[in-house]
Amino acid sequence: MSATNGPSTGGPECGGPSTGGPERVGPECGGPGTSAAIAVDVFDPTPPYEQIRRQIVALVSSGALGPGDRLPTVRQLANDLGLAAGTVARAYRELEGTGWLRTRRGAGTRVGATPPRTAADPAAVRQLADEFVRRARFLGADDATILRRVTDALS
Amino acid sequence: MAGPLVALLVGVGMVVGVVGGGRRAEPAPVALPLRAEARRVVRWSWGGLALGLAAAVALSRWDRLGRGLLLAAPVLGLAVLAGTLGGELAVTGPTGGTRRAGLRARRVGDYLPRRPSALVVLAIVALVATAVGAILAGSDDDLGRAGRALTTSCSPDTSSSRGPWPGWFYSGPLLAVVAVGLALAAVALRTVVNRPRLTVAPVAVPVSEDAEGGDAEALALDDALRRWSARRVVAAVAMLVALPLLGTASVAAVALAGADCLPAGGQVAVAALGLVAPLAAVLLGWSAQSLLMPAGLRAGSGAERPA
Repeated sequence: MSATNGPSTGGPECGGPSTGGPERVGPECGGPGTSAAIAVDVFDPTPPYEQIRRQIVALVSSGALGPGDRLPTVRQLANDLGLAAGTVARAYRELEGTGWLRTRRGAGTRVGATPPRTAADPAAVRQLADEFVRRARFLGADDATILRRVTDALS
Repeated sequence: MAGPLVALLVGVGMVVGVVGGGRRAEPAPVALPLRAEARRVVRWSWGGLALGLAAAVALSRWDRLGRGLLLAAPVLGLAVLAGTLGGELAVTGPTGGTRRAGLRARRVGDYLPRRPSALVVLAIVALVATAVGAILAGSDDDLGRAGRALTTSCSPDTSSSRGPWPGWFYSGPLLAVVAVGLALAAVALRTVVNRPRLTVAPVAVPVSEDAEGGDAEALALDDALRRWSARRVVAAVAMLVALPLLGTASVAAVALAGADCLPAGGQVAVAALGLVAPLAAVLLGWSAQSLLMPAGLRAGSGAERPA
């Protein structure tokens, strides 16, 4: 997940996605269970439910939320964010539909046991590879060495 | 005779509450706006207590047959529950453009005082069992008031009645009030858990150690306030059931012990009622101590955010 999901504004509370994506924050925002937090910008053109959905996907993808971690109830999260319950419920529903979350009566909403892997963005991967090659050449490595190191890293 | 004993047991309960379960909420030094919002919640709850005390005093003078006295404590509990619920509902959610929320799932169990809560559940079961048993065993008194007397038969030809007996006349209204109270308590606890976090007005403060520290204090205050409110809800329910349980059990035990011919299992019932009374008295003491416990929101270690 790229770091462009959340609203771009950061702030002092619960470590909002000040760099554009969700972030793992200190214990003050979590406690037992998870210390992850999300932020919603109501003036962002992206609908709030989509901001929530994207940030939870990013938190799961980054490992900030692990399989089986319990998430707040729809009402709790909606109240904390000052949003309608239906907005959070829609985000949860879509995440359940794609296997990121599962909700069971009595057990609450949890991160799915095997969350789907996100498809890598080809352009982003290419950009990373170009950057690596450029910097390796700057250090004096030849193409064969670069290739060998990449192969080593993959194994 | 029972008066000094009850007073002694209530006193013991208060001491147990202070020494054992009476941990006060840690003072949470936080920004003034947060403390102001928290104080609003606290004021609501204290207002409920004051209103409840006035209502209980007024109600205790109603009905010379003792129903007002029986319902006084439950009405006090109802008022505290209503006040606490009102305070929690008064917490406003975030209104800024960017709203943040932690993903920690809050649960009712996180905020309840465990041992007193277990005792309260035990007291509820004991009260319902005592009241239902008394309703089933009761009979009309000499003026035809349903379930206000206990009639026992020593032989097929003779029977005797003793009263007062906590039958339908007393236990009917009591169970109705307790049912309303338990429903209100359930709503209050859900509200304590699900209400928005205490938040300050949104300001453009860059992320810094100070800002993060300020948030930690806000979260500590938020959690402390929820714990205080949840404890108050449990204490109100304890008040709702403990005094009626004490009264009902005592009256039933006295009536049973003085009956000419105890029905089958009567001695067991007297012994069981005797066990219930100390539980109710201790719970009552804890409840009184908890209801008078301050919220601990005084200024602390000077982490106030400059204006």
